[in-house]
Amino acid sequence: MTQPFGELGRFAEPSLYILVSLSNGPKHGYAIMTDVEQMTGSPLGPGTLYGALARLERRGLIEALEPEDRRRPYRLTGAGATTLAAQLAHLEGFVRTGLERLAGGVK
Amino acid sequence: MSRLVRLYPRAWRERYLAELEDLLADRPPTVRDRLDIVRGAFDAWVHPQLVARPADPEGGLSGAALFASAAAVIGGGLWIATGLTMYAAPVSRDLGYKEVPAAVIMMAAGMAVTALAAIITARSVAVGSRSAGIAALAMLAGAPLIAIGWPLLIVGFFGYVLATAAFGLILARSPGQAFGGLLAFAALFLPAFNTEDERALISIPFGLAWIAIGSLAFRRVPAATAA
Repeated sequence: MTQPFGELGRFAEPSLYILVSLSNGPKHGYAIMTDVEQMTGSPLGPGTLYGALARLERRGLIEALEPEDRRRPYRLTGAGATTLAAQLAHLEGFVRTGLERLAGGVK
Repeated sequence: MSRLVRLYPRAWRERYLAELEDLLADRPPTVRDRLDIVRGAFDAWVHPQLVARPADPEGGLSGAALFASAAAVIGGGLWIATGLTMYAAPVSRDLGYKEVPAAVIMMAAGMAVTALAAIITARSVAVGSRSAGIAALAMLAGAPLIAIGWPLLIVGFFGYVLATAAFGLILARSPGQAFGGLLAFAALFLPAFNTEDERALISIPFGLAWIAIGSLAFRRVPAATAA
């Protein structure tokens, strides 16, 4: 993971999942959790989810909206969208390299 | 479950508890979730991540923000008064240098009051709260040493200077607290402070930095941790 994800330690991967989840619109905690579970096949724990949300909010990558009842939706900020796009492009290059090497066969 | 979420720091609970409880109502926690909550609570104590928010716009400044701001302004004023008093004092004919006990008392008071402002604010700093708290306590420790006199005076003074610079740098890393850098910068000049000549005036920019912080930055003490 590259900056700013690298400094997030064990929260780097969950943070990326959360940003992807929010990339198609605001969601509250439970909706993020179920969305991530659908995308990745494994759920985020509640403590991990809120640890990552706090870090992303702290870095200005997401922002909290006005609560709806007790649920507070979060949305991606402009900085969050830029960071996510850069991170996904980085991962895309990494995946492409890996696939090309696999296609070339083990030498 | 309520007992588990109580493991989180109070500031964290005030910010996220309602959301977390709502989430857990929608999705009853498994054993793994419970362990994850315990781990998350530990993380929240070790790495506070709360977003620094301005004081409640409807309710005005929180009590902590008001106290920290007032202490910073008063402490900064005491530092300025210290420098002016020492600068204006005549050189003692008997001693051959300036001896102004009142100014030393003012300086010790300025150190103690600004340290109090730092201690209150350290509880709310989003980045490095624990480090900021240690720095603020080190600032406070300098004040009584100044009052005791030579040679502990030197230890207390330089301890306060270093701790203040560290506190300013930690503060500067927090959202909305860029003025912490100004404080750290002003503290760098304090080692040249001298009571015997115009170098006594070096305390003036340092005092002004505290006043600026009290007037602008400390007003952003997060409401979540202010009670």
